[in-house]
Amino acid sequence: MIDSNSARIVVDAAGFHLDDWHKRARFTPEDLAGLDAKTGASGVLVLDAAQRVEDLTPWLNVLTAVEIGFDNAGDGRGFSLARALRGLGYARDIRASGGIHVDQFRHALQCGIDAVILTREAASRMPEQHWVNAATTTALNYQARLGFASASWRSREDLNL
Amino acid sequence: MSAHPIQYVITANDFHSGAVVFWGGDAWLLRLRDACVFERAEDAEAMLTQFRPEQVVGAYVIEVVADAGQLQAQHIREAIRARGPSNYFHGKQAEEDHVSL
Amino acid sequence: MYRYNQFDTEYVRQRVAIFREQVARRIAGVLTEDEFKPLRLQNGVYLQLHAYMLRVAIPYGTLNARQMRALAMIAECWDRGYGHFTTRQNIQFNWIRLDDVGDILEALADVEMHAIQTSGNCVRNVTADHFAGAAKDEIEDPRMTAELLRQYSTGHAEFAFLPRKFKIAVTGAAHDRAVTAFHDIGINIVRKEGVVGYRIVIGGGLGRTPIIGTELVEFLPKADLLPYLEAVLHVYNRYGRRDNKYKARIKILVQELGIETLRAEIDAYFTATRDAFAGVPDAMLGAIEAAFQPPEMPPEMDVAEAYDLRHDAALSPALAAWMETNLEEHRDGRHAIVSISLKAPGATPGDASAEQMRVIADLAERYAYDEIRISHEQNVILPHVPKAHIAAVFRALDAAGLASANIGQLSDIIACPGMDYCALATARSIPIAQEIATRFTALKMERDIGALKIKISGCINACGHHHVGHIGILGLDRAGVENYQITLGGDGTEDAALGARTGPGFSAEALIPAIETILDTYLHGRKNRDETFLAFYRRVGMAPFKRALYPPTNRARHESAA
Ligand code: HEM
Ligand code: SF4
Repeated sequence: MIDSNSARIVVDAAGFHLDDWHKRARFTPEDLAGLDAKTGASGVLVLDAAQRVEDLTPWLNVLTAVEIGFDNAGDGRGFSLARALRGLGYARDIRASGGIHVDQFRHALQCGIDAVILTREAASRMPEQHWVNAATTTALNYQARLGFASASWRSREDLNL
Repeated sequence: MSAHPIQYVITANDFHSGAVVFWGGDAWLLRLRDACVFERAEDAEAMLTQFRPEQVVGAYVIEVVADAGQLQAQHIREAIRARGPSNYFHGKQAEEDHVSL
Repeated sequence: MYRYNQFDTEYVRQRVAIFREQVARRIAGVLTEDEFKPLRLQNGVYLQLHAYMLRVAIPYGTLNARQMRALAMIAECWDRGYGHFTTRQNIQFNWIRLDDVGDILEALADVEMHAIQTSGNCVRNVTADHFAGAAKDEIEDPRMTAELLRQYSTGHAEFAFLPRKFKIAVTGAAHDRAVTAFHDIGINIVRKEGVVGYRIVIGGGLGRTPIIGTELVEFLPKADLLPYLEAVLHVYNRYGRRDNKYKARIKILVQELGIETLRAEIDAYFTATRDAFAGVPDAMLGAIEAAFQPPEMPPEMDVAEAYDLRHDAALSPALAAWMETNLEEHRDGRHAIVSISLKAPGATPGDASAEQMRVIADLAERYAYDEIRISHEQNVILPHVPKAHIAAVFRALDAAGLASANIGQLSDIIACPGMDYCALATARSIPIAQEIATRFTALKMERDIGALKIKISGCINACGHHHVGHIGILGLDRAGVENYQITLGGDGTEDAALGARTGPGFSAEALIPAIETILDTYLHGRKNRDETFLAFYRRVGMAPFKRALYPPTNRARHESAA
């Protein structure tokens, strides 16, 4: 049971968890220049959907946590951002936050996003079982069949994490 | 300009069937002539927040005039919704007066 | 023809199950209408004026008899006995209940059909030349490419929430029957130094801002198609405008960034990701290729000589007239391509009754190797009919009211549903099409006028392709009254051109006389019967039409009314 009122909820393919990032420092791409590697590795880089992730290349093997903000459910830029990050070789956690809902969970997972951060209100409206069911629909994937089983589509297992 | 004053009616589409419906005062009805008529647009607009989303989709206010006792939609679009399409005898024009939704 | 493999079947069934579950959540109030709307749209369900509308994909316009019969069954069981074929090789059912959609999708899945991605901001049904596999001037059957793209674009996780819809058309022939210059991506199959590849055109489109597409790649190797398109879509998804839906199509990105910058962005992503693409497995490519081989002919065909259709023509003037307009040369001289007109004068362009669908299905099965096509011009094609059976096919069509001899002529009008059905419309288009067709066929002007494409849209979205009509008609709303703007000289083929406005619009009553004036101007001005309407317009320009349409006395009146 999740009963803390303060933390947000995180949902991954296995179900709901308490947000274990909420105590970590948060910074944006502009902050990166003034950060040392240790701080970079311990905090969360928060990206908005318009970010040119190609500019982050020097940081991609330092960072361990990236949060991509989705402006609203109709805005799919975050999916491309996640894929671009994976394509550039970033192999640690990516989470999505903001306007993303259960019917987009499959898309998020297939684009290399590991989990979605939910508000309490969203979590109560979209129960855990819906998310877990949605995660199973990733199995049927035309793009993987056509040869796109590439770095950007890699699963956690492939990364040996 | 029309000699008759403009009045207001609330319309929407039934959630399940998509059928055109009009607010009759305590229920959604299939006929424009059964609609509840508002003298002031503000009064009709004020009603819009009160409808249950699982019943109708996209409620909005339209302008009508009562011409010889008959309610007529002012805009051609609403006239077509209230009557049915022009290429087939389908829609409201072809329906019995009391079809169920 | 392509048949579903186990994966396709499972995928489509899964999508039906997911949609049923989404509807259930909407009914239970878990999903709001705002959340549900994009989900139903991704499954082709719209809310129109009188009911829900279901848009079913007919990938690259190809159907078999069994599928056509399933459409007839759906029309009868769940609609009002007819369906409307659209300019995007889809069929729309206008009187659907939301509660029935799950069952309808299930019935479609039974015959390897679906409504996936027929709406929404995603890659839509991929269209192709309706004469594919039969045309004389074809380098390669475009449906192989279109089927590959169907699979590639279906359920693509990254591109389900693009800035706006994304339409792709493919042609494999020199003569462009697929309007490729007016798609987000137009793909032309070309041959260069003996090698077959693709010419890619980007950023064409109709709608509010009509633009002829720009060449993006002169020659793309076939193996690069998918990773290259992936790069195009990736760049569009990230940088396409989302602040204004009228500026969100890729054509605006092309205009704003410039083709060079855009190409550089695409190339950079393509280069970076291409190695991660393993290539389409040979077995999958092989299965697609095998699906689009010429039909298997009975052994008698091996020795058959080309049948001389002049015998039939001599016996029946009606058949002769129909053959003149509705037959096209097939690459195999023993066959002909038959166009079945869904434009009987006075009928609704593109509509077919369930009964007519069954007649077409029967004919396809009996005489035409079980192949049917839907054209973007809202007609039905039997692509391979042995010439020996043309007369029999004609007689059967005639008995079903399907033998209108008008393909490519005045009454073969494209018209979108317009304000009789469409929630976005600003004016009606169907009654205009009906009136034009009845009026001028009654005057027996059609044959004399010859080749003419009239295209009508009920709003600026241009589903009726009015910008590329030789005569285009756009229905607008002027203070609650329908008003029609006329454009002339549009062309959707390889000689792509946008129509130019004649001037102020016309009321519904004034429109038919205006069309008559336009036709008279052509008939009186043309050099001879060989000079088509379009050729005449290109020679003389707008001036004589303007003079005839807006004589000085009328002009004053127009301006005071405007
Ligand atoms: C160019 C090659 C062909 C020639 C010269 C040819 C000729 C004929 C002839 C002379 C008949 C007898 C008609 C009668 O008894 O009234 C016939 C019947 C028939 N043929 Fe063909 N045929 C050809 C190809 C085909 C093909 C490829 C198909 C199918 C895809 C086909 C389907 C039929 C059918 C279904 C009948 C029976 C028609 C009926 O009873 O009404 N034919 N054909
Ligand atoms: S052109 Fe306009 S009226 Fe016609 S179908 Fe498209 S959106 Fe509807």
